[in-house]
Amino acid sequence: MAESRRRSGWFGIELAVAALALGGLALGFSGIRVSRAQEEAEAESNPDIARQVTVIGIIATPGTKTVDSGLVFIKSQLDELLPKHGFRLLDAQSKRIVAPESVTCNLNNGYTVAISLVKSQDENGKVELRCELFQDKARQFSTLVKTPVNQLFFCQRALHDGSQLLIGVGAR
Amino acid sequence: MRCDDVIRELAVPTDERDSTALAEHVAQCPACAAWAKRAVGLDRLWKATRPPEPSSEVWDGLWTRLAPSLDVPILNELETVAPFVPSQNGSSAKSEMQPMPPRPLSRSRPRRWVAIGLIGLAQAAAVLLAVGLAWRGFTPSQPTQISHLFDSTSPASASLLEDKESPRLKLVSITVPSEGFPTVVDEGRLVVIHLDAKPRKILLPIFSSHSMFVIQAEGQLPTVVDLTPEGMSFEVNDWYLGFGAVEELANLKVAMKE
Repeated sequence: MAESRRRSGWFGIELAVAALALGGLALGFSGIRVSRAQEEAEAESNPDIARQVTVIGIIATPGTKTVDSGLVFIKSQLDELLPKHGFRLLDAQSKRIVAPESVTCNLNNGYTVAISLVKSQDENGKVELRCELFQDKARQFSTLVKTPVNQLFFCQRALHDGSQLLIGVGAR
Repeated sequence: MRCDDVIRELAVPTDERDSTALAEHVAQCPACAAWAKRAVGLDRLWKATRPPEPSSEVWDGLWTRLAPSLDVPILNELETVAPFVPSQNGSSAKSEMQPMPPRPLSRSRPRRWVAIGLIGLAQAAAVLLAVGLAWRGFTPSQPTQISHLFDSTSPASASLLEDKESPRLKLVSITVPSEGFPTVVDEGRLVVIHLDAKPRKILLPIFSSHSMFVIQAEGQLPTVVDLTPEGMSFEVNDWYLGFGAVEELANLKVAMKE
């Protein structure tokens, strides 16, 4: 009798824990969606809103399979970009900026990348960024990119030693 | 519909075309029916023989052949072109006009054939240009980069567009900044922009009823590749989680430096 009461007690506790876990997950996902919806609504109401712009510099070396632990979350994308390459993180920067401010990331071989916010939100809801690549302070390349929020895009440049410079950029 | 309108629609179809009226007119008018037949044949030929995007060597070769011909009188006379003053709002665009010396009037038949050949060559350049742009899949979202050259308030453009009684041939060289062609990334796509693109050159002949000029545009345009695996796109939440992880990594780096 006491045994069956103890069992039903444990079952109740397990049920409560499971319900809490499920509730937490549901709340977490809805939180993500709500915060994203809030960000989008905020950006729509104010086109000069600040954006959190993130830049990472990665060196991709052919023939190796080593991937920095910090890059495992985007490994599937990196493998699509450059299969059979190892990826090493050079630098990562993230800053909340308003147009026309920029985030600068220092890379190897004298390379620097500067990402400037041109427009917080264009007519299609995308963030407009200017990407400028410098080598020893001389501008090598400049291009404009319109990208959705919360999504990375990559810039790539071949280096003389056969490795590739990858620059991941995103904004939210 | 009038025959003129029908022929224009057949040559350069517009979004506003009234297909029913067009079909009715073509059914009743043998001349326009012949035009329609030729247009279909041309389309078929173009689809079958469409060339790949020309390389920079092809452009250079085309330009080498075209440039010496620019001083050939097209119609009745050729005037020296007034010096070109760059527009004040064109800070990133280099603009220059190459003056051409006046030549004696010539109405000889070979000259006319040269002129026809030149126009044909320029039309080929226009086709190549259209192919190049179509192949790239870009829409210049900043037309002002070029259109300021033809702003009617600009003294330079006045020298281009005024005085329609004097036919002439001109050359305008511009440097197109790569920012004139923004890359648009769609949701869920894995896009990579190659930053080591070589400078590219395009020619754009502009015809009007009394004159012709050629725009030579040169610029460093990035090569953009969509590497999203076929038949799938990265889920928004995948990107969101990946992006969040990268952002955390960046914040950690910033905190460690401080």
